[in-house]
Amino acid sequence: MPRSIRVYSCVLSTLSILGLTMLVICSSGPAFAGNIAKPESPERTIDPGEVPAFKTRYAGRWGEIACRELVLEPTSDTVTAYPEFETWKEPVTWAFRQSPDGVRQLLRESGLLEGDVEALLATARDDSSSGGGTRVFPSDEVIRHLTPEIRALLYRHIGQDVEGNLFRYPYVLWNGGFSRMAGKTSGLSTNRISQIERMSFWGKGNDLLFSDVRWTLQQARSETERLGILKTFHREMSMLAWLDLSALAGQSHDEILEYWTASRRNEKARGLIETALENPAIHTIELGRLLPAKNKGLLNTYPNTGESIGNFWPDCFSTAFTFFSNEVRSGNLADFKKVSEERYERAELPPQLGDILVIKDSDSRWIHACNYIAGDIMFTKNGKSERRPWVFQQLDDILASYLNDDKITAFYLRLKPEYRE
Amino acid sequence: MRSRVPFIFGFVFLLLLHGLPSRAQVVDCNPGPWGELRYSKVFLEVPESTLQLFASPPAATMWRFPEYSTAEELIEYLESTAQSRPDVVELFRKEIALQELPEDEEVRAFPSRKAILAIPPDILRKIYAKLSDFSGNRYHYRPVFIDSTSPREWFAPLNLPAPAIELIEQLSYPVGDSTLAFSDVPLLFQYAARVEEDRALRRAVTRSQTLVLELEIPADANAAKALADYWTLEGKVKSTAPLLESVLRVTEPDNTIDPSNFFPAVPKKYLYEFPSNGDGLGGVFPDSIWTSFNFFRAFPETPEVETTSLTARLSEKYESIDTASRYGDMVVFRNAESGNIVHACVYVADDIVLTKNDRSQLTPWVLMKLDNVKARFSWRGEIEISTWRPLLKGNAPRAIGQ
Repeated sequence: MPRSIRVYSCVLSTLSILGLTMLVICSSGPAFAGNIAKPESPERTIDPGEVPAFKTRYAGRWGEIACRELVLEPTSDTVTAYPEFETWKEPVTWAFRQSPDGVRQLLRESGLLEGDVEALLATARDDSSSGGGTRVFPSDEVIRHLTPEIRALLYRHIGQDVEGNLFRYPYVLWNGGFSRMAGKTSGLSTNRISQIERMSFWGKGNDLLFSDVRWTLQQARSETERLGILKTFHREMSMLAWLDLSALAGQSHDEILEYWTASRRNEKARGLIETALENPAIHTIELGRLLPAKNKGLLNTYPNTGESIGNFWPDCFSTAFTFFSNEVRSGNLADFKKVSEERYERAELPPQLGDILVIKDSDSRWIHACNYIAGDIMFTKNGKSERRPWVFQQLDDILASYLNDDKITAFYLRLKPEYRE
Repeated sequence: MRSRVPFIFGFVFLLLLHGLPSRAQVVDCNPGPWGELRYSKVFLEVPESTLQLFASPPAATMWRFPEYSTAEELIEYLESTAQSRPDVVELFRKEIALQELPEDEEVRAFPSRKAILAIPPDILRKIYAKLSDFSGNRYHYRPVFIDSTSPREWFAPLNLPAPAIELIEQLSYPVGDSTLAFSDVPLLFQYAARVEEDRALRRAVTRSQTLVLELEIPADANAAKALADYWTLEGKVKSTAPLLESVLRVTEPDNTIDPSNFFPAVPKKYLYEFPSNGDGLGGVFPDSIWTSFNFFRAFPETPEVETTSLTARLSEKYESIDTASRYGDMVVFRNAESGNIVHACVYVADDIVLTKNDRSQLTPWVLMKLDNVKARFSWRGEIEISTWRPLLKGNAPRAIGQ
């Protein structure tokens, strides 16, 4: 992980504005790193370069929850249908909008040495007279040895007019980098993992990115390795979580039932918990079982082709704003903002089951929404891509993955009492 | 695999004590391609808001006989059941009031509490069998089923008044080897003198039992492959595969999961749920047929009352098989006399099926032993059971999910 490039620590502090709660996340010094607090805490610090500790237990109003990390990845059948896999043999091409002279300037400004610039331009195909820009075909050596700083400066200019281009739309890696994504179960060699780590780079904000997918697939020694690389890039953190009934001694069952029934919006939880408590053989209830039916069905699955409208797939907003509904409703952000104005109000901490955490960037654009479950566990659909499943994730992992600006804010929305969904 | 030794001793003790399995036990399923599977039993309770939609049972027991138009016809029938026992005939005459409804061409009988308790069980069962033919006899047509031979144990957690339990014990009747039915709900509610008792009785007669499964994830690669093949139908159920593969990668000890997590979208969403108001917005709530035909669909069809085209659909999308043995096989119940499909459920593993036992909002989607399902649908008359395997084409993602 090229930690020398850019290291951010970010403070997430809680401000009270007219009795309502807004979380502000902004750049800060490294002194706060590692101090990750509970959501109820007035301050929390996240270092996007660090891997948040995975907490295996959360005790609170919800009872006691036990968790186990789970890493989802698409199947081989799914991955082989990805364009990246189908086109891996094609030469690596850097497509620029500019003329060759413009490209020369870009390459120089990105920090490439003069010799490399001229070598690259020697491969250039000039289609600028027909409006096609300039295409450059970099050698293995150049691709392999670019510094992360150069990749960060250069790649953002490549493929501006090419839909699906991985330079324009790079893979966003997990907080902790590719090695965290690979873990011990990817089947990839340590050399391959290290190589990908070295070729990762920071985006404009705190995103850790990777663009050299085609080149990496070309380096793979077998079809199996190619599949392994792509599957690992598409891994998604999730977790299995259980309400631990054996750990409820001394806690009021009424308090737990009140929490999970969510002001009668999730009534079925009452019956499940009450009757499970009757049976001494039942020690746990999977958390997914306690969710409203729609979310239970979606948890740990990928969007189905039938759920898309053209290229529009269910996203975080359509998921978060239908938490208590029977199905995911399609809609664009403007629709859900309207829904939020009508049906939701800013929530005071602590958050409740189903509350929506909205994350805004520095321009106040909503960039993500997810639902609070319990402890630090959120129910989230990251991105609108069909490649991203619905999962449980730790709040810190979600915040870190959306910490792509100098300052972002987050706040909780809660359904007004008169609305059931 | 966790040790079951203490449990086994406990189980034997309970068997000696009660002569039947404990409600609290965890039971290992038979070995099979589904892996090391076990289940425990848990009750599902109707959400309070749904329960409030349903009126309390009437104060008096009413038996409706739409096939008779005069009181004399009904008396003749009742006496024919008495098997020439003068005491029973006397009971009928003194303790059952009759009401003719000429406009509705129906005769109603109002047996007293004394009559119901005094009629010999074999005679009462004959009458109840006849009452169960008519859906207007709500609690005979759809009795409260008790998947146990001991009502006392079944209702134990609810702390019902002792006389209520005794009443259920006395008046419940067997509808299979291990299932009882109870129809005298109005009589039972005479014990609901207070609001709390009324609530407890409502819970008692509306709760449903389901099995909750737990699957041991093997560390051995071959066993893991076999497990994955079973629960994904050798890769055909694509929506299942990512989670299953993910769980198989976990190397920690005590790696278990509820395999219903691997169900396709529709059963995964609905299992353990009661139908919501939204499920019936099309005018009809989902039933067993809808559940079975939509098991592998990514997007379910709108529930309809469908009686004619089911056989054609079976022939088109399923193949007939000798016995249900693979996850996803459909078990179809037909009335032997009419040939009509009266129920369908989906085989999961061992002798466990996923079933929605009727359209009611009070009936959840549950996992049950197939024998208990058979008991529910065979006590009224002879049924024929056939089994069907869905024709899932190779890797045909559009047919089954993603």
